[in-house]
Amino acid sequence: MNKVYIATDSTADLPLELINEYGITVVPLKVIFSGCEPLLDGVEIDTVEFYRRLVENREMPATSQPTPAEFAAAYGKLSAKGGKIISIHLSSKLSGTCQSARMAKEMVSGVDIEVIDSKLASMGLGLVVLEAAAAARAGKSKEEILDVINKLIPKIQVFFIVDSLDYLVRGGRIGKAQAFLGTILNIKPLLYLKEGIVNPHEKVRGKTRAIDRLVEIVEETAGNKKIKCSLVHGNDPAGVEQLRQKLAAKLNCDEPVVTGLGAVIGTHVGPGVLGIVFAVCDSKQ
Amino acid sequence: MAIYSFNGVDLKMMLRGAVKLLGQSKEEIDALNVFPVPDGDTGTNMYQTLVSAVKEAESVDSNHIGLVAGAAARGGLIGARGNSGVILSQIMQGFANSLSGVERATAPDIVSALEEGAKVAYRTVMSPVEGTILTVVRKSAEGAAARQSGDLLRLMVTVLKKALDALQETPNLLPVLKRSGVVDAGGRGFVVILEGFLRALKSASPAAKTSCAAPLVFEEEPPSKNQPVFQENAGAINFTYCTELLVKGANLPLEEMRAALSPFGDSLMVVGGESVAKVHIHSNNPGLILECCLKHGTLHDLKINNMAEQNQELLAETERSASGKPFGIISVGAGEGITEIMKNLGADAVVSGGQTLNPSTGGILAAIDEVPARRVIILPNNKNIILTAEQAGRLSQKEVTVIPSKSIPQGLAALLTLNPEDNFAAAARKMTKALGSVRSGEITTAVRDTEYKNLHIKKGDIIGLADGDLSSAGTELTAVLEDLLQELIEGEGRLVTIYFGDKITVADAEEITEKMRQKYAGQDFEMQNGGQPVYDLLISVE
Repeated sequence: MNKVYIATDSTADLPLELINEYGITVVPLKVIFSGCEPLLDGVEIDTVEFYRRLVENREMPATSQPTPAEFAAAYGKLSAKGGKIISIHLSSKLSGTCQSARMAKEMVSGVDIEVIDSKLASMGLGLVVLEAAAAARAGKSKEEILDVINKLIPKIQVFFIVDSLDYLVRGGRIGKAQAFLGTILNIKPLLYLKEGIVNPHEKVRGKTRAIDRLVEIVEETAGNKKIKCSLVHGNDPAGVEQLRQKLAAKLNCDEPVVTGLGAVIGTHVGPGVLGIVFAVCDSKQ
Repeated sequence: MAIYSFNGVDLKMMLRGAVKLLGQSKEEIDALNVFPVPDGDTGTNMYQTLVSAVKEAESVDSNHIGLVAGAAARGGLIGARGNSGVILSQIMQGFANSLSGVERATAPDIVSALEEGAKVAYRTVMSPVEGTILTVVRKSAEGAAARQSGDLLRLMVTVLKKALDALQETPNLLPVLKRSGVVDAGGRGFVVILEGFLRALKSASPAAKTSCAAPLVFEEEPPSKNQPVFQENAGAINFTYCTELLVKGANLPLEEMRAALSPFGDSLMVVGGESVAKVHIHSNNPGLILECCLKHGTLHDLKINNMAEQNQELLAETERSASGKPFGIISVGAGEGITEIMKNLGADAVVSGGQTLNPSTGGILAAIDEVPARRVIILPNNKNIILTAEQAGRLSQKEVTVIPSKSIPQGLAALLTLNPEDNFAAAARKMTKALGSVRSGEITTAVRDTEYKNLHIKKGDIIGLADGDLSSAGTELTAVLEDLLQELIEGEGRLVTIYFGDKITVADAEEITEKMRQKYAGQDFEMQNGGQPVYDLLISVE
């Protein structure tokens, strides 16, 4: 059998229903509140619980990537069923997760494993994983699925707003942010992923205007072309609903996947996050 | 009495006469405002500009009119404040260009100089408006050309008469003047200068012309209420670079070099002979010194020392940031809160200035020099400071772009677009584009009675301006603000920011903001402590 299994890590922020529906293997990263045992992202701690503790503790937890052994164990389980593995991960510029996966690949001999650095995060990575899983379910070959993945990755754009840049700066996850540090005038920094790292895009004053601006950016890029899209939020269901409605009114898009950020991504962006992940579909699709 | 030529001494005497009369008339000129807002003080600005010109002219020890006119032009250039000051400095520049190399000027020389002055002034302004100082200067020059007299005294009488006629015409050319019942303030300033020239000529006895004139006492400018970030008068500038070099050439014009170099600093020495001269000067623009000397010969034994080097730490830091910064930003503003916000948004320097306190070209130039970057963006944030900033940009060795921001809200909107990823050109483009994204409101107190559109305004009334145009008036702040917002707000979901000034308490500002929040329920309101003078409230709607 040439069955292909799709694996990823917990920073894809995929909703549990979709993980189960597509049979995706998710290797969790860990979040560690000081003085506590590490918690498996998405397994032992979910969005709501994470943000509750983040606000309660008023301190930044630490995160850690899965060990190569953990990846090897997951790969081992899949290979026991027979078939090939495509393992798609968080941007290697943001985390060593991809590195762990590559080391695991060396540890598990005799199994066909392809480790892919998506250069994305959260549902940016999630959309790639979903497309790959759909192709795998449709019985596509490993090469065909890799082709789908490689074509999709450069098309995916991730834009998001945060309440404050403190979390990204403290975690060292943002490059040129100095000029964006101002917290006066109710500024919402609007950021985006570029070549695997977080970059400042612009400053917008006020949350409502920031949401409008997110929609506008997608409009500017996509026009009236059909898009695939997902909305993410840091425990802000009201904000994400506002974003969803504004988007639905203006854009040509199927019902987007709406999901809460997991604990690991949440640790690095902090509260108040609203983001949009999208890819303009090929005209023939 | 007839006079057939002017030399440098005559010109200095006339300039002294002009500066004296302008000093006496400046308040009267300041009052010729179109709007009853505390304004950019045209008279004061022109006076300050002329003072700077006269100081420079006085430093020239020569009776060569070309050299004196040249020095006056340089002094004017550096000291120029406000739009009228910049235009005046350009008139002097044209005058000096035309007289360059002339030792004694005859009537035809003066006619040409006036014509050139008018021409250069028109070129300075991107879209010249008739009914302003420009018209008055042009008409004076035309009148002079038609006079055809060899007697300079008669010529000057004609010039003054033509200037006065042109000034009386300004309300017919510019409807806004007619509505306010005034003549153009800048034009009036120019007429006063001509009057000053004529008075000096008429009162000059042959004895007074040859003996040394009594030293002029200049009225010092009033100290600013706000601590200025950069001192604006030349005396307070700390000259950082001790520049020394030898110039080798043929027939070196030492006197001319001295005059050319003196505006750039102090402790100037130009000594030597016709083939070798030693130049020594303390200056902030060693580059300009070198350029200047290069015109006369080859440069040797160059030495430029930084005299401020004792502060090693600061210097090291400056250099570090200079190497890491693709461009610097200078923003003009007044008030502690506004200054803080500008710095927080990424302005490297905030030059103190605004509506009643226009910075000089020299003040902005000093700020450009101090910003640790080779490329500089300037946000003037006032329509009366744009030309000054542009002039400073032309004088600087650095690459300078002036974003024509006319208000503090426009300046803040421009600063908000700053992105560390952008280069100089992209940043300037985004900033310029942002100017149109915001509407600006201002609330202040009327300084005189006036009728404008359908508003009957009494001195002391509270008035509101929408994008610089008088739009509401009354005796109660909240009511005036409410009317002003009616004019400024279009549509729903706007962000209205109210920056309250130094005379408003936090409690009052909160109360006012809350009332507006209720009145305009579809909009977002924010309140900030601007601390600005003159304007009780600044409002941005975006």
